[in-house]
Amino acid sequence: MKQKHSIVKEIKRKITTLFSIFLLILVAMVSFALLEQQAALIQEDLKRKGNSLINDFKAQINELIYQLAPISEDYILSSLPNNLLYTQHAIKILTQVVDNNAMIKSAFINDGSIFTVEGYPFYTLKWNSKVFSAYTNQVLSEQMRTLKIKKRVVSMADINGSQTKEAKLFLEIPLRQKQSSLMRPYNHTGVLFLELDLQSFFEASENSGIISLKSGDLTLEGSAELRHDQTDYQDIIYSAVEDKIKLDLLLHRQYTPFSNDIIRAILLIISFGLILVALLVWYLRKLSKRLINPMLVLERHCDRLKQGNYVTTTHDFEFKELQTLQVTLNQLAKQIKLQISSLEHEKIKAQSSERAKAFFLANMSHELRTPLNGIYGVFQLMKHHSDAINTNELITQGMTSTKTLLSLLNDLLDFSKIEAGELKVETVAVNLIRIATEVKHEFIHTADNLKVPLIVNCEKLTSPYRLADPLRLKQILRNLVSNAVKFTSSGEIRIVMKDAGKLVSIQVIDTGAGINKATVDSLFKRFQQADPSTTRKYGGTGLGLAIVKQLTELMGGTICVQSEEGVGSEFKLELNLSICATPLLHAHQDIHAVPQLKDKNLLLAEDNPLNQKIFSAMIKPTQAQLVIAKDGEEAIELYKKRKPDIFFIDIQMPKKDGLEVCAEVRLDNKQIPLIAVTANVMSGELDSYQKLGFDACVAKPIDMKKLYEVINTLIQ
Amino acid sequence: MQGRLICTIFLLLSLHSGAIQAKANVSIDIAVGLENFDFQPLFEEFSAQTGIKINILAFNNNQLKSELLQYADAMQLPDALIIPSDYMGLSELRFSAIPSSWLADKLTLRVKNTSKVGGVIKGIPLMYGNHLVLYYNRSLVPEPITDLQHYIQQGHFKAPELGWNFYEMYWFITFVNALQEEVILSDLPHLDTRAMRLALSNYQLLLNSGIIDADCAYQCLMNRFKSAQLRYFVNGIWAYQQLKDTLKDNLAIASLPRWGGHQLISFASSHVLAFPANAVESEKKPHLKLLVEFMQSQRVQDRLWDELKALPTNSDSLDKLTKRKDIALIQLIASLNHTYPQPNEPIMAYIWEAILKGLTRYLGGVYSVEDTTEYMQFIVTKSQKNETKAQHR
Repeated sequence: MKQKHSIVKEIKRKITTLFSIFLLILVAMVSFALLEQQAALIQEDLKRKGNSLINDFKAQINELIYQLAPISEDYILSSLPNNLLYTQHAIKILTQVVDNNAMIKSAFINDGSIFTVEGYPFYTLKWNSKVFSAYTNQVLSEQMRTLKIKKRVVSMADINGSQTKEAKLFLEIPLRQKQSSLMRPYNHTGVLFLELDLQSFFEASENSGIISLKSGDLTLEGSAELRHDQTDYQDIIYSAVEDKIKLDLLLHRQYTPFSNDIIRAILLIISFGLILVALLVWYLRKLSKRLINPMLVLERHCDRLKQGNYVTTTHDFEFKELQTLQVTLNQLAKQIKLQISSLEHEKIKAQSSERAKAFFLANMSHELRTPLNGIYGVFQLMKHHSDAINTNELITQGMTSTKTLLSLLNDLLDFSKIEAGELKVETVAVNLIRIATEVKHEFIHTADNLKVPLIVNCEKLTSPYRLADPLRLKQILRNLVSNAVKFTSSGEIRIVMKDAGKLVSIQVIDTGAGINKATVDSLFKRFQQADPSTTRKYGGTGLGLAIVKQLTELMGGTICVQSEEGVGSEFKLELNLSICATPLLHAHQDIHAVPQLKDKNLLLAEDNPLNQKIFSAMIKPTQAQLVIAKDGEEAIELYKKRKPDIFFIDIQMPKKDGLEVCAEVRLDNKQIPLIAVTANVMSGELDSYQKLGFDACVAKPIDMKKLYEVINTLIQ
Repeated sequence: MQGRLICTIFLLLSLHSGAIQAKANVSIDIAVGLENFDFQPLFEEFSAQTGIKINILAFNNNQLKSELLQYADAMQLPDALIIPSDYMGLSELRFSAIPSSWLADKLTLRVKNTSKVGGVIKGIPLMYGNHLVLYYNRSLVPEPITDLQHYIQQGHFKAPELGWNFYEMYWFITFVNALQEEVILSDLPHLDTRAMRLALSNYQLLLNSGIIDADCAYQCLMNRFKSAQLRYFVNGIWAYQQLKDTLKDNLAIASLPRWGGHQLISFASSHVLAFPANAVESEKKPHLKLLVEFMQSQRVQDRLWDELKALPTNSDSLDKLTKRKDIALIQLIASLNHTYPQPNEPIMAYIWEAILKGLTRYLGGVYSVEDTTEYMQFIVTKSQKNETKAQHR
């Protein structure tokens, strides 16, 4: 596995590297800038130095010419070409001229002949006099009236035949004798050539750089040999036009790109940079410690969390982010702790629920088996005994068991709807007294059998007509009364209704077994009964009061119980129900009456033969002509063939289910009443059937009254 | 009467002393060569006799000529010069023509010839000879060199043995004279000759032989010979007294040696008393005449050898010396037979300068021997031509 980096080390390394690179770039940029500046300064200095050197050179030469001009008419020297007796004295003069002038290296006289007249030092006599003779003859031929001391550059090749590109610079002083002639005031006898020694000039100019004095391709002796590409500065000292001699100054300065100043500056920057790097490293190390220590604390904290030790820490961290992280971890720990606590609670709850469900299932099994046993027993007895008296009683007993079973299933469905939040409360005008009376009538026979009077007290109910859901209200009251009847073996059961404005209070008071205080609190919980022994003794699913409480809350009311074991119980329901006017009475009896369907064609799609028989038996009183299809495809065929007035369709059928049949029929006819006959009676399913095109729905097992109500409603 | 006589005598004495006092205010400036002779005692004697003060201007012999020429330019020449007779040819010095009456009677023809330039007497011969001889130190060598070329070829010299004033043309001319009798023919220089080229070559051989030290000049050689560092020494007879005083009887004299069979021949000349800038025509003429008479007087001439070790021009004085039994003196006088008289023509001065310059350039490698002689001939001819032009102007 690839080893992971440390963030702090990474930051340290990256920052140090970046800073070093930045420093390096900075040094490079500064160096470059300094170098450019240095180059510009050097160039400027070179130009200035070059001008200065040229001026110096010219000044020195001019001063020398000024000093030596009188020698032009020196009698000895001017006489020497014509009288060699002056030789010794002339040598003395030449010696003095050379020795007393640092800028003169040698002096010699030429008279235009092939022989040098005299010279000092001796080596001048060895020079090729022909070249100087030519210059001398030029001067002699000119016979200038005014003194003109020329500069002359003579190559070493001409002087001594050497193969170098060197040359010497000479001053050419005409030697002349004054004579009393207007036309020719001077007699020119020869030329004194003075070889200039530029060493002192070069030495004095050493600091200016490497100097080269060039005349064309020739370089003056003593000066450096510089090529043009090595030259940093070049300018004219003497021009061929004005001075009759071409002489240029070439200057080259050997300088290191990085002068001491620049190197010092760069070293200073580098030193500062290194100090900064050192400081940075020191700071980063310190910072890393300041970061790592709290991070280690947090890490330990995380380890504790990982191990399930959800404690909080209260370290005072220096950095806000770490403090926030600590707070977050603490919150996380708290949250986890809370959630664990919640989960534990839920777990206990779930376990409890599981136990309740197990109990419920066991109970439910018992509760289902009890009415089924009644029904099954009735049918067995009816099969073996055809006694008419007993038959009616058995049928009544069977129907009661069937209703009990149906009620049980309805409770389950209601509870399921409530749990799923699918139960909707409708608001219509209801007569509270009538509801109480109807419930009383439902349980009066049972109560009478127990010799327990069931009394309805509505004297204090000033406004019996309220906006409410009559079905659910009746269900609540039915459950409460059912419980009272179930648990009261003596005394009485009283239904008391009161109101105060919108607030309606309904009390069901019995003198039954009562409930102990410990179980009162869990009385309204689902699958809960006061005592398991209660179930064994009285039966029941334990859903009744749970449904009551949830329906009450669904209607915006409250329910409470006061009970005392052995004395009785009092359930008090309080609802806010708006008062409404007395509604018009519908022909209620007509709706449940047997509909008159003579000459009407009815089509039933049902695959179950028993259900087919039951349905046929129920329809028979209506005198309608019923045709039955045993599956979906046959149903479609019969529909197309018979064109029924009402089409009853089971949902779950072979080949084509009821939904497909409905869809096909609706494609053909939008008017024909389609009634779903199904055991799928969950709220969502019923809604979907209506959206698909069903006009109504009849739940299985089929309640004849309900069936007739639906048919009557559709017919109307 | 007696008192009048005394007064008269006193007056005459006063006048005489006044005359001497008057002459004492007169002075004669004389330039002389520094190394040669010490004339100071003679001039003091002359001053004492005549009251004429002698201001001596002493010059180095090498500088004397150019110094004189320079003074000539400045019109500041002295009243008299004691110079080698060939200097009389320097026209720039404008020597006075001297009346023949000023010459002493006892001069030989050979000596008289040395007093003339172009047939005109330009100087009063005082001393004769001036020629070179070979001195040798008997304590070092028993015999003189007879053939110098042969001597050089014989040996390898670890140290110089012969004192030879190499760059002095008076010494060099002996090589020329050995091969060519005249350097002036019909008043024209005769330098670009085979003899001159041979002389230059031989002279270079002498230089390269190692027997001489060319850098050791006159006084250096004198010192070395005196201190017995040199076996032989070629010098003028004017050096005899100094050498004799030092070496005593170890000093021996011989004629110049030969060079490959050719006798080296020195010039002989007079030292003359000459008067530049036409001084004879000046107001100092009587004083100068007095000086001439004094210097030519028998008494002074007789003392020349003893006091200056110079051979007199007076034939009587020379005869007296000949009669002495002094071997060295006899050898000196005899060596005169191996000399050529030095030409006094003006051109000679140029020739001296020309051969010096030529020799220097030749030895310095400036010119070949042929170019050297051509160069000598050229510069002398040019100077002569220009002098002629100047004279015509």
